[in-house]
Amino acid sequence: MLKLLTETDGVSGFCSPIRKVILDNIPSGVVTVDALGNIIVYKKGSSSDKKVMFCAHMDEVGFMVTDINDKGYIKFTSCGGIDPRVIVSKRVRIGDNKVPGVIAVKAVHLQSGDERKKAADEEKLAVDIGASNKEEAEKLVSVGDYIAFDTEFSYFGDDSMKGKAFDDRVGCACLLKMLEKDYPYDFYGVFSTCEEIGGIGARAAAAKIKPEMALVLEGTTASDVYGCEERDFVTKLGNGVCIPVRDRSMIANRKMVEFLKKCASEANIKWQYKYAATGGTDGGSIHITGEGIPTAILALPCRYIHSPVSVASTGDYEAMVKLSLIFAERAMEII
Amino acid sequence: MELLKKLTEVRGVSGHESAASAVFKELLSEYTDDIKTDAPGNITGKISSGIENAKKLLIEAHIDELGLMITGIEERGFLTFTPIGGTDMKILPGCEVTVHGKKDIYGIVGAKPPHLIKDGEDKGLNINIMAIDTGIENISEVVSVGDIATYNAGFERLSGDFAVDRAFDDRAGLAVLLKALSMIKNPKMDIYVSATVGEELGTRGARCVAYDVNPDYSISVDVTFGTSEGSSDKSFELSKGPTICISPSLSFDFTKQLMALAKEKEIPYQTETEGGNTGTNAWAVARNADNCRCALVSVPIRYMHSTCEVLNIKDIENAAKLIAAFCEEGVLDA
Repeated sequence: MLKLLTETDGVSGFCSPIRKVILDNIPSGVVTVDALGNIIVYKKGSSSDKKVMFCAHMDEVGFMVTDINDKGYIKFTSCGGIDPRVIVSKRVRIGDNKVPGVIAVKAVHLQSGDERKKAADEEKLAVDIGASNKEEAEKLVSVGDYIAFDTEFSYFGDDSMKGKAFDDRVGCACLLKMLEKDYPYDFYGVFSTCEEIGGIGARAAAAKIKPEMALVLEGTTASDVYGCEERDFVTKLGNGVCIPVRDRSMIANRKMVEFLKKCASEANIKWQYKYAATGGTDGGSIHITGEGIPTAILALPCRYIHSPVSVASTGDYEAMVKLSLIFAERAMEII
Repeated sequence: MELLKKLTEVRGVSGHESAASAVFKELLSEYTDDIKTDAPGNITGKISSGIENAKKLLIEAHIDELGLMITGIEERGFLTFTPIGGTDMKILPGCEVTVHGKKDIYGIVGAKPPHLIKDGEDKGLNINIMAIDTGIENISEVVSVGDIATYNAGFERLSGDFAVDRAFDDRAGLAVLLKALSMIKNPKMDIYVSATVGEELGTRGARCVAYDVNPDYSISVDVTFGTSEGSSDKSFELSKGPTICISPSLSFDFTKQLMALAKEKEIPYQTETEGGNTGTNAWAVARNADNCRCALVSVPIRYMHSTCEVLNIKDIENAAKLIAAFCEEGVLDA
């Protein structure tokens, strides 16, 4: 499932491919797709009419075609925050026809000393699809088409997996698992759109559902890489699922955070804090929707998040799935 | 395209070319049984013309490609590295690689995140803040310092006659040689076809081949800069034909003859100029054969020395046609 979900494209604003795959894999519930493209799955509660919303975003960071120049090169802008250092010399595919291309920079030999030392300027980069001129390129690509990274999912190392769009297909995979079960309260599973450009979809879904409580399933940053000091790690791969207390966009609901920690320790599930208030999630827009919604986050630590290839621990992912299932089963205890 | 795919599928970093050489040898064996491997690892096949006292023509291209060498084993499965060959540091962050330890290991080149790079520190193009992430805690059991890593980005067709790969420099040259052999029916010279090693580290293998074969004529087939977005005037359009290089380090007569032949056979070509060392094996051949006229034919590729070198298949075909024509027409001045 992770392979299918991460290899399918769904750049912010262009979620049709991933939406179709998710719709095909929803195990049960009443499914609607709203005006913003969110998938909302409703499962009636067996004993309560309280509402709990679980949210994972479908969209991933990518690019959009802004111009096709006379020579047939494709200029682009990013959809969501991408470190321009990581995109040079990477393979991409454009639009629903998956036209293959490369994000290229002129040969190192032709770069000035200064250019060689500096990271590439995103404005100077272009996608080369092998078109000889504008006319030829326009047969394959149009301004406004999305551009997605072309990365295969696979397992590697002791306990690692790699692929694109872990942020947030890991959350989507987790939510699909949760939808296999029934709950005492009204369960709303939301696969949201446009998180990467500002949590647009989740806000609308939360406003419509008006839940008593919301849990956001996310991917978060892990900086436990070579060259970084331990205090800068934010999260560390292999240390379990992350229960953030706060990030850039919100302070998590205290009661929910304590309950998540309790659930984790009682079930012997490894968890960790997020040791920096960086990054935002759908929680940022959900928790201040309407009269305010108690919101918390469960997140999977990912190295090289927002790049063509992210790395996460399968153990951490299992911990995330397990803890979100237990939380969902026991949620009535804190409503 | 099939031939290019076969030639690029196998990795062969400078100094570690044997697997790639084996593939070339197999493809070459379709044309001759007289194949020899020398001490540095150059593969050279001879195709006899059957003519007495025939002139010797060497056609060669290099088989080695860029890669990385492991320099240190760090905590949590990270490996530090140094590039082999002239590498653009910009391509490295996020690059997927295979580390050839006791077994092949998947890895990703990770770089310190931008927000953790302190003021005054290099913003990302310094290999001191990069390492290969293998996800293996006890990586020292399978990988040693000095092991090689290769880039995973492989062959892919783009639109029309364009394709992309990590190692068109210089598997494209080898494709030209093999394609040319498939076109030659009656050679007027004894042809020595060679896949040379260690070019990226200083045209090492070609010296030995030049010395050993001691040819009368030699055509080196390499790649040259293709015009791309933002490239300089010193680059050549893709699909407009291979380049033929004019340089004092090459034979003017021979170069002119190739150009005249191209015109006669209506094979498109572009003229490249180089004031001295061409930076290719042609330099090594000229300096190591006793009485040889050297020429340089190049396939324009975009983004040389990246993991996404782009070429147009027509340029390979036209380069092959030119070389085949020369082999069949023979030498005028003889």
